[in-house]
Amino acid sequence: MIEINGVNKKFSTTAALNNVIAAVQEKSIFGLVGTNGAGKSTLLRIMCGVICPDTGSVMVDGENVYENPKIKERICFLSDEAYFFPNATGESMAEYYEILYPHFDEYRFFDLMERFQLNRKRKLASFSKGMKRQVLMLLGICAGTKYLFCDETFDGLDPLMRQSMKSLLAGELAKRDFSAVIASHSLRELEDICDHIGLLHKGGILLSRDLEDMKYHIHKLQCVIRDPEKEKELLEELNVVQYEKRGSLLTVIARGTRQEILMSIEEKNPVFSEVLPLTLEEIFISETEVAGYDIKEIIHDAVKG
Amino acid sequence: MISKKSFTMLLKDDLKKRSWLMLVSVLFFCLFFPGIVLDNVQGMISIYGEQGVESRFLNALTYSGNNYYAMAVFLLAAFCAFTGFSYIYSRQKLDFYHSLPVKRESWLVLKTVSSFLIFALPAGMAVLEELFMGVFYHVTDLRFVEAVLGKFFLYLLVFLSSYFLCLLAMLMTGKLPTGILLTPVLLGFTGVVSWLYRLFQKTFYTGYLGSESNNLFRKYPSPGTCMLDLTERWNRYVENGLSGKMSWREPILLILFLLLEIMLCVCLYRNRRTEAAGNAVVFPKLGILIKLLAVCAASLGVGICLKTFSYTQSDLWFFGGIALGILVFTGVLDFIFYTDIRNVLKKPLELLAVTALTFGIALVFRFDLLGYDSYLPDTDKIASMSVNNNLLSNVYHQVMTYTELSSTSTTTEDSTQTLDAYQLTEFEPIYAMAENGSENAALEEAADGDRILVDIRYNLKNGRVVYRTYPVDSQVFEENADELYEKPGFIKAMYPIFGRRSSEISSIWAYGVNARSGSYTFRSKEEKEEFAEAYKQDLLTLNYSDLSGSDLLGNMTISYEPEQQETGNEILPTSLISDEDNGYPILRRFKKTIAVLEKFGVTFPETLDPDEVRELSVWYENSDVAVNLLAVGAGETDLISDSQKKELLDMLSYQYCIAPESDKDIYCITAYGEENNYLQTFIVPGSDLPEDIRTILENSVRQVSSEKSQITG
Repeated sequence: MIEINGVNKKFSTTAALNNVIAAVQEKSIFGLVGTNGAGKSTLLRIMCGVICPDTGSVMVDGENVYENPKIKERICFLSDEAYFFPNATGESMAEYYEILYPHFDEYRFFDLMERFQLNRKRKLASFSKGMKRQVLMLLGICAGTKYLFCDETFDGLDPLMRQSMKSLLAGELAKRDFSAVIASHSLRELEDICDHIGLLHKGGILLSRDLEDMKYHIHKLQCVIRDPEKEKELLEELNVVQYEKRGSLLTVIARGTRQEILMSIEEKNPVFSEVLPLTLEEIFISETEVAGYDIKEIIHDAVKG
Repeated sequence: MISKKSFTMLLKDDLKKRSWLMLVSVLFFCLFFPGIVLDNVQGMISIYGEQGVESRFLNALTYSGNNYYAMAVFLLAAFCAFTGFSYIYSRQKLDFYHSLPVKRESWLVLKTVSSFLIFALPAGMAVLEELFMGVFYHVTDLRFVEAVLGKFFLYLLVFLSSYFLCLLAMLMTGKLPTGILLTPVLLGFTGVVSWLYRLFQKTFYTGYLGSESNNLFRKYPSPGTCMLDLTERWNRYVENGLSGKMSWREPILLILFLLLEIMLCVCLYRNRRTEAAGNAVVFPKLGILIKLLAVCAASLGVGICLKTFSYTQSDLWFFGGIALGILVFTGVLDFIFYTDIRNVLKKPLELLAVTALTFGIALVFRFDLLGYDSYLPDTDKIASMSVNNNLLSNVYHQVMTYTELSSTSTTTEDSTQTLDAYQLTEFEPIYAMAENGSENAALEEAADGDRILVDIRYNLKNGRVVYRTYPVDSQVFEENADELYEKPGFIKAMYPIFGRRSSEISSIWAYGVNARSGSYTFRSKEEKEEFAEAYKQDLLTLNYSDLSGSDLLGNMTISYEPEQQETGNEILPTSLISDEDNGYPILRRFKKTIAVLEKFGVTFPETLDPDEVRELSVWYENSDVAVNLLAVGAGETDLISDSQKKELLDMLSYQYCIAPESDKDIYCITAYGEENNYLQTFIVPGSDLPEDIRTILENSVRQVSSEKSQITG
C-alpha cells in the first residue's frame, strides 16, 4: 500500500503540491487525473523517490520511499519523457533493468517485444515516439515490480496499442500482487481500467474516490417540470453540482444515489424525466467547475482575446 | 547500497558505455606518452651512445619538464566527471536514474570507480611498459623504479583531485556551460585572490616587503596551483636524479584539498534537488556567494590593472575600473544565471552588496585604513628583530651559473632572506628606526634624499613574523646604524664570510684607489685559513661610519669554490657555479689583513703613482664638457704641471671613489695609465680641489663650452 501523507512541494515560489493526502490500495489501479499544472508528474516523482517533498511523506509498504533502494526495488517509474541510453537497443535496456530489478523477466520481455513487432536489436533512437512508449511500458511491466507508476504513458499510443497495454496491466493485476498508478489527461482511457481515481487541481486533491463509488454518487438528470415552483423545490432538495435549462428541459447534475434522485423527481410530477450515468469526463468537468476551474470561461476568454 | 554483484555489473555497463573514453585514455597514456619517453631515450642514445642511459630515462620521464602530461591528466579527469555525471543536468535523465533502486552515494561511488579505472588501468599499463623499457636498456636501478612508480601515484592524486573538483563544479550548477565555467574558478580562485591581495599590498602599501619571487600565484594554495607546483617539483626532483629532498607540502595540501572536495561532493549530491536541473545554479544562496566573490575579485582586478597600466595611475582609473568591473561582471553573471537579458542587473540588493564589499576592500587598501604602513608593535610584544639596508654593509652576494648553453647571474637574495638569517634580541636601535619610520609613514612622508627605506623583521612573542619597509630619516638611520655595529652578532650577520668555512674560499680580488689592485688564488688550506682568520678579526672592529670614512682603502671580492653540479644529464656539461661576495671593506687600520694580503702580492696603495698616470680626464657635473688635464694627442699641452699633477693625485684617495651625498659642484676625474689603460674614476667636490687646479678647470670648461656654442650656433 502507498500512503501519501500531507505532501507539500514548492518550486521556487510556485506551490506544486498542497497538502496532498491519498492512498493507493494493494492490487488496484489508481488513476491520477488533473488539470494542466495540477501536480500529477510532481506527485508521481515524489512517490517514486525522485523528488523529496518539502513536508509530508510517502510511505510505500510502511517505509519512506526517498533514498530507500529496498523500497524502490518494488517500484518502476515510467516517465512522460522516455529515456534510453545512447545507442541502446531493447536488448541492452533489458539487460540493464535486469541488473537493478531482481524480478525482471527477460524472456517475457523479448516475447512481448516480438508480439508487438518491435525489433529488440534495433536502436531505440530510431523508433517512433509511440514505439518508444511501447518499449517503455513493456520494460515496466516485465520489471516485475509490485508498483508501476506511469506518467502519461498512454499518450502517443494508437488505440489498438492502448487496449493491448491495458490488457497487459489487467493481466498483471489478475496474476500477481501488482498495483499501478496512471497519470493521464485521457479520462476515457482511465475509465475502463482504473479502480480508483484521484483528481488533482492546483496542487491539491479535489477528490479521491473509488470509480464505481464516484459514478454511483453523481448522476445527470434530465426532466421537464411544468410547475416552476416545483422545479425550484427540486433544485433546492437535490445536492446540485450544476444545472442548465434550455427551454423547458432542465438538466441537472446532482450528487446522490440514483434512487434518491429518482424519488425526488417523482414527487414533482415531471412530464419527462430520465437519470443518466455520467462519464468520467463529465464528472471531472463538473467537479473542477465547482472548484473554480470553469472550462467555458476559459474558452470564452480565449476566443475574446 | 546495492549488492556487490549489481555494483560489478553496473560498473561493467558504465565502462562499456564510456569505452570511447577508455580508448582515448589508452591512446594517450599507454601509447602516446610512453612513446615519447622511448623516442627521447632512443634519440639520446643515437647521439651520445649508451652511457648515462639512466639519467636520460629520468629526464624523458618528465617530458622535458613540461606540464603536458599534467594537462592531459586534468582533461581526462574533467571528461570523466562530465561524462559520468552529465545526467544531473537533464530532468529526463534524472527521473530515470533517481527512480532506480540505487542510492545517490552508490552512483557517486560507481561513477568514481569507473572513472578511476579509465585512468588507472592505462596509466598502470604505462608503468609496466616503462619498466620493461628500462629492463631492455639495462636500467634496473631502484631510482628508476622509484621515478616510474612515483610518477604513477603522483598523477593518480592529480587525477582524483581534478575529477572531484570538476564534479563539485557540476554539482553546484544545473547547466553544463555553467559547470564548465565554474571549474577554473574553483581550480584557481584562492590562488588568484592571494595574488590580488599581494598585488594590492605591493601597490598601495609603501611598507610592503614581499618576496621578489614571480611565482606569487604558486605561493598561495588553490587546487590548481598545488597541482602545478607538485608536478613541477616532481619534475625537478627527477631531473636531479632523485637526489635532494622532495617537498611534502604540496602532496599533503593536495590530499587535504582532495578530502575536502570528496566531502563537499557527497554532501552536495545528497542535498542536490532533482528539480534544480536546468537552473544555472543549483543552490541559490551559494549562487549569491559565488557572484559576490567572483565579481568582487574580478572588479578589483580590473581596477588595479587600469591603475597600473594608465599613464597617470590615478585614483580615477582605479575606482572607475572597479565600478566598470562591477557592472560588467554582475551583468555577465546575471546573464549566465538567468540566460535572459531582461534579468540582467535586476537584483538591486545583490548589486548593492557586491558594490559595498568591493569598494570597501578598495578603500581599505587605498587609504591604508588598517594602518599597515605605520605598523609598530609595542616593545613588550617583540621577541627579536632584524634590519636590512644596503647601506648597513656594502657587501652583496652574487652567484653565476654556467653551462655550455647559457649563463645566468643572480645577485643578492631577497631582503627577507637577509632578515631571516639573523635576529637580535637587543633590538633597541632597530626599534628606534622602526618608530621613526612608522611616524613618517603615518605622515605619508616618502623616501627621498633625507629618508632611507629600511627593511625590518619583527619576531613577535606570539610566534608571528611581520615584515615591513619604513622610510627612516637619514640621521636616525646613521645614529642607530652606529649602535647596531656595537651589538654582538650584528657584524657577523651583515658580512657573509662569517657564515662560510675558510676552506670554501678560493680567491680574492682587490679594488683600491687603483681600480684593480690585484688578485690572488689561494693554493692551500693554510693560506685560506690565514687570510680568513686575519680578515674576520679585523672586520669585527668595524664601525658603521668606517664604511664611508677616510680610513677606507678599498674593497675586496671574495670568491668561493665553484660547485660541480650534476644536472642529471651526463651528456650536457656540468654546471659551474661561481659564488662570490662583493664589497668587503679594507681599512687602513686592518693591519693584519693588509699584511697577509701583501704576502700574497695584493696591495692597497693610498694614492695613484703619478708615473703611472698618463691621462686625467675631467667632466664637470652633468655637462658634456670634458677637459684633459694632461696632453693626450699631438699638438696638445699639459694644463697642469708635474707638481700640480702630484698634488692632485696625492689628494685623490679611495674616499673619492665613493659617490658623494650631493651631486652639486662635482668633478668627475678619470685616470688612465699606459695605452689608455683605465685606472680609476674619482668623484670630487669642487671645494676639495686645490685652488689653482680648480681655476684651470673652470677656465678650460668655459673655453670648451664657448667653442662648442660657436660651432653649433
